[in-house]
Amino acid sequence: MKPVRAWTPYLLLAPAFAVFAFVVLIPALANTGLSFANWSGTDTLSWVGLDNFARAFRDEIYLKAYGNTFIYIGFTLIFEVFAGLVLAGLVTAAGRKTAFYRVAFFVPVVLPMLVIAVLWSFVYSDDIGLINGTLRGLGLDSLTRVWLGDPSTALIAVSLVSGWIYAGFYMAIFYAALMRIPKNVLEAATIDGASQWQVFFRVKVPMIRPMIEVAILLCVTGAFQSFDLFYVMTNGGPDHATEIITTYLVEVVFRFHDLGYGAALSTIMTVVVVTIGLVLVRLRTKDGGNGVD
Amino acid sequence: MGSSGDAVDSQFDVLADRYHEKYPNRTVEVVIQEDDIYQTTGLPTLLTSREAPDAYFEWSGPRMAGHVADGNGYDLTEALASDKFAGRFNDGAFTNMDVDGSGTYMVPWTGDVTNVVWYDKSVFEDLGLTVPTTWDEYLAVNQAILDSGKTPLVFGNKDQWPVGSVASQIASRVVGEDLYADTMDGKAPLNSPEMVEAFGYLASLAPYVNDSVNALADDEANTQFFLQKAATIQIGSWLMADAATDAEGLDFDYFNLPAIPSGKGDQSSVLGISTGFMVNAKSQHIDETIDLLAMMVDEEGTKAWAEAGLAPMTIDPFAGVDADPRTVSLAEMLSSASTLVTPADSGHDIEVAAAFYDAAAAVIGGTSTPQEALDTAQSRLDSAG
Repeated sequence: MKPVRAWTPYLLLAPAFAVFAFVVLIPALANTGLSFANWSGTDTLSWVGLDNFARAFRDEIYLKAYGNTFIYIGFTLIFEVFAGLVLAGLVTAAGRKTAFYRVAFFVPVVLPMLVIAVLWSFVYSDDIGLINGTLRGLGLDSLTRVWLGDPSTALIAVSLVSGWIYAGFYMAIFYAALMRIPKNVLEAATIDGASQWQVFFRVKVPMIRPMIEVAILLCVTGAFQSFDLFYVMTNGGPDHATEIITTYLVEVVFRFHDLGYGAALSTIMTVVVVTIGLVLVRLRTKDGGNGVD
Repeated sequence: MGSSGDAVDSQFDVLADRYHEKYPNRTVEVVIQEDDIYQTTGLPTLLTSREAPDAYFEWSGPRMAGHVADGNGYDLTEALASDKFAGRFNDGAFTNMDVDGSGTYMVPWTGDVTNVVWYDKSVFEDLGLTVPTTWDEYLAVNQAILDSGKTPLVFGNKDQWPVGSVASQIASRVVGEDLYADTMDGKAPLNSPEMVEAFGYLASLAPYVNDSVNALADDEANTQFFLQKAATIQIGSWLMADAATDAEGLDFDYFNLPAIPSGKGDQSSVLGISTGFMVNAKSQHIDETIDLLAMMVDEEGTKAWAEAGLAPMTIDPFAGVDADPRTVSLAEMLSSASTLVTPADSGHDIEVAAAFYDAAAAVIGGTSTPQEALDTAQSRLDSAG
């Protein structure tokens, strides 16, 4: 067998890198450059130095959008990752004949986001919605709300929909990891007198910890990329209660035609997401990643 | 241009055929995009492309002025004064189509009344109500409807412009057109005592609107009105287009926003906006493009737009057309307005408008007082620099 020349891997990677540079790297660098400019998209571009970045840190709505995004991340970790973990635990504990449940929990993942957003807008409707209808049917009229029109409930309402969609996705990956845990480990725990809950939280969960860490990374970075659900269901309202970074970014670029400022906002967002991603990866590698991956 | 529905879009093909017939050696290509895409990314992308359009649709006011500033607007003053357009327009049709008094940059196409109060006539008859002419009478009408167990007024303010339009009209009536314009152009604060007073009138409507005011989309609110779940709705003249298919059997009419006697503005002002077609200053075919636009607004063209349900800006737009009387009267109201006020997001600084609409949404939703809402709006503008 011939020895591989040192430059061969680079040669093989070159086409993929060229595509990556063309569709990601160059636009990202161009966007960063645009961050230092004032430009509407059609007028004459003028350089403004760090003004756009300074403005971003004074922009109350942008700061509120960050706050909402982080709250949303907290909700998604509960409604998506933790709920997915619990569902996976229940499905594996139930043993056989759980295929129906696994499919049912996973179905929302494959539905178009637009369809889901419209569907849940009806579910949350104040007069014809399923939730308020049920509450009224139970005589609990005082608990009815305009779920998407009330600043105190809108964000959690949209977050729950996100949970409804992705809990099934995380259930699927946790289920796959749980099924790979050696049977003898679980039998040993049972023989030692551990209850089902103890087996789950003290044996199974630690053993799939690397997969949980990956799920958290996916969930956090995915939350930063969320847009369509918010755009269709609330469009950032009411009173910016569901304004997240992406919806505000769209408003700045496409409504205000402030491309330079929009570029600065997206540059800041990129730095924040990459930093958080690197921290999460670093924590994961530092920890050694013991368990079933 | 953005799509205005099949009835209108198909007339552009007819216009192109007419043009080809008259000028066999010329070719017209009509590009119609989804309306939202056209407004946001479509037109700017086209204008910066190598295949930039020779003529393009636009709203009068700042969007048009922006294109002029970018070098994409051709001064049509001379052309509009020529025989090609002779006798087609009243002077009022060119309102907001100039830039600081210099030149006219649009061939007027259609006009929309942006806000009137549409009402279910059967509800008014059942309750013995008459069309209100003053704000106090208007509130009394709303109270009577509320007392009867019906929702008096429905808004679909998810995207904020429906109530924003109402707030624009109220503000111009209360503070006067000059201060309203200065405020929306960022030359006066949003939270001035006069604007707070104006928002007090908006707040007086809050008890009468649907609970879902800030969660409902505008078309959903239209549906609620058509289904008689609410007795009135405030929205623009385009409701007529939806009513043609969705409001069969509903007996409804409209009235302009009632007068606020203590207000400093014109109490019979109309909130409206005109549209038109601009000619690209970079076009290699300016004369040929002007020929096409002249055909668009000639008698035959005008009739085609009116039959398609639009309100053309030309003289006598409904001649020989079997148009709905309400559409005709709305067009007359617009063309004969003693004062035409543009909504904040169409005639002024868009970022000020966004803050103003935020405040209006908070007030109509009952989550803020006028003072709180406008203080917050001004604070946001200040923080953004």
